Amino acid sequence: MAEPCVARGRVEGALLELLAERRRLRDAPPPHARFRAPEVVRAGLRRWMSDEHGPHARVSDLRRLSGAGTNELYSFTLHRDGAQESHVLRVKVPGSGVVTHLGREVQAMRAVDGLIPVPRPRWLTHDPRYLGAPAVVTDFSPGVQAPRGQETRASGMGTTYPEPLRSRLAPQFVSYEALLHAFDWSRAGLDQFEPPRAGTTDAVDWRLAFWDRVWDEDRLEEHPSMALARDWLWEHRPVVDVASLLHGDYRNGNFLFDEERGVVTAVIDWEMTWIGDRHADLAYTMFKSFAHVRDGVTLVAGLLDAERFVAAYEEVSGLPVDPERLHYYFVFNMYWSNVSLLATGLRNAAAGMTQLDVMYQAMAGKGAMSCAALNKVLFGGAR
Amino acid sequence: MIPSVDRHLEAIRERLAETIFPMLPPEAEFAREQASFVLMALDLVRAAHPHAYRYEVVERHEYAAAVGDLLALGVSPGAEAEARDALAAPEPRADEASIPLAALIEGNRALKTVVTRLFEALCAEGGETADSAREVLRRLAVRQVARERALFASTGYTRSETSLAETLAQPGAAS
Repeated sequence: MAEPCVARGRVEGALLELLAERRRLRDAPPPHARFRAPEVVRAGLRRWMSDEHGPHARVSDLRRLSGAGTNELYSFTLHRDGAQESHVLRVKVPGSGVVTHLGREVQAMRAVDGLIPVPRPRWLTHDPRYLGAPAVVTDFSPGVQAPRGQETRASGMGTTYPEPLRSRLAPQFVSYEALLHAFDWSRAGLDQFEPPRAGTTDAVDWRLAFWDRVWDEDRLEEHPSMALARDWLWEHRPVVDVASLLHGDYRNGNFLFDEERGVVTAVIDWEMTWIGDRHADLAYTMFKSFAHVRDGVTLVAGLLDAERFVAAYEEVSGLPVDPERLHYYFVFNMYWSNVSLLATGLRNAAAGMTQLDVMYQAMAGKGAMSCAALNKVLFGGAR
Repeated sequence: MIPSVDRHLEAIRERLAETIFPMLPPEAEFAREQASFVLMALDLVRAAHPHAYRYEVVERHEYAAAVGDLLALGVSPGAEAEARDALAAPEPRADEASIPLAALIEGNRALKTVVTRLFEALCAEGGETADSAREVLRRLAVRQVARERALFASTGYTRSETSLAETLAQPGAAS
């Protein structure tokens, strides 16, 4: 029989450690892997804050927020030194449907704080004695994920914006993505990331190798569309002209805004951050599944048409947008999102690592739809 | 098929038992009683569904044999005609569905792994060999996706012009 295909690129060290930790958790799931009771979270947070700020620090108003895909979210008030502060606690979910690295997430947010509005990370712990998993406390960012009265969807996907809100938010949305990609990360102390060489395929090689590894570790069974996509992606890797810090999940629903003023107050959900080709982020932002059709015009992320989006991006970033690379990263993004939908979520469900097992298993249907789209993009979809 | 029907049922049972039913208030006695029957029924369905088709095959052959035995004893023409009509229904082979579903699934997964490894090895050779291997996988991918679209149509995530039954009955579906 043919030998199994070995990964064609290397995986960054921090991500290799993350994958090893994941295997350990699956072999011996921690007591609260599937569900942390509110009293467990409250007690763990109190211990942690007390260790950080002394025995007089106190926690109150702990409240679970929506969303639990990769992190459990809680708002709370911290009382210390006679003052009250509003914060958000994010605790990693061991059985998450997508592999993410909290240390990288926090470093990226700290690096761009001031350039882009982000929830400022304050304290980070990898000590499982507090909450059973890595956790971070950030400042509370005011704002909403979707306009008032709009039905909130999972992770804010498909959020739409009425006028005049849309016209106010659109330029900010584009600008922050452009500023992020033009940001010089080389002096930002991002030691959880390995620096790829510009003008090479380092960045895409490493990222592809990572997703290949996750697919190989997590898939319950092989899929011909995924095999074809993997083959195509390795065959067509474009050189990365400029290696940018990427958000990885930049779309509608992943920023908070002040509805009255039409101001973006925070770009959130940095779990998927990596250093690579800006076209990966752009192609993701331009996914049709995040778009909204208004008067026959497809609005990128529900905000503005593709032509204006690209023009505004190029103007702010000073970086050109190449349609060929955009196409490559459409396929790339479909590939990794399918790794999550058809492998990681299902593997963690089967391993009893999550309470979202029914949801992940039903959402395998999204993976099926995405495989149909992959077939169409790669060879027209019919044979 | 991922996830398997059994995996869906197992997850549904866990969510009901661990997440949803404990939220029923203590005074909702009737609801709590029915909840325990729901779990019992789900356990029964999980245990039985892999054998449902084989169960019917066994019964079909057992009862068809009994009809033959009884006809041989001599019955009225009307009763015989009715019996012959019943026997005329499509008959599965006696050994049909005798492979346990779990073993069939495991075997299919092993085949899928072999297909991918062969594909990768042939692609590594490049040239016409690689192109031909890609063409084989493309045909496979089209049929795989057609089945999945039909399978998940009820979730709303996919759309399919044919039902799962029609898709599986199409020429080439089990060639």
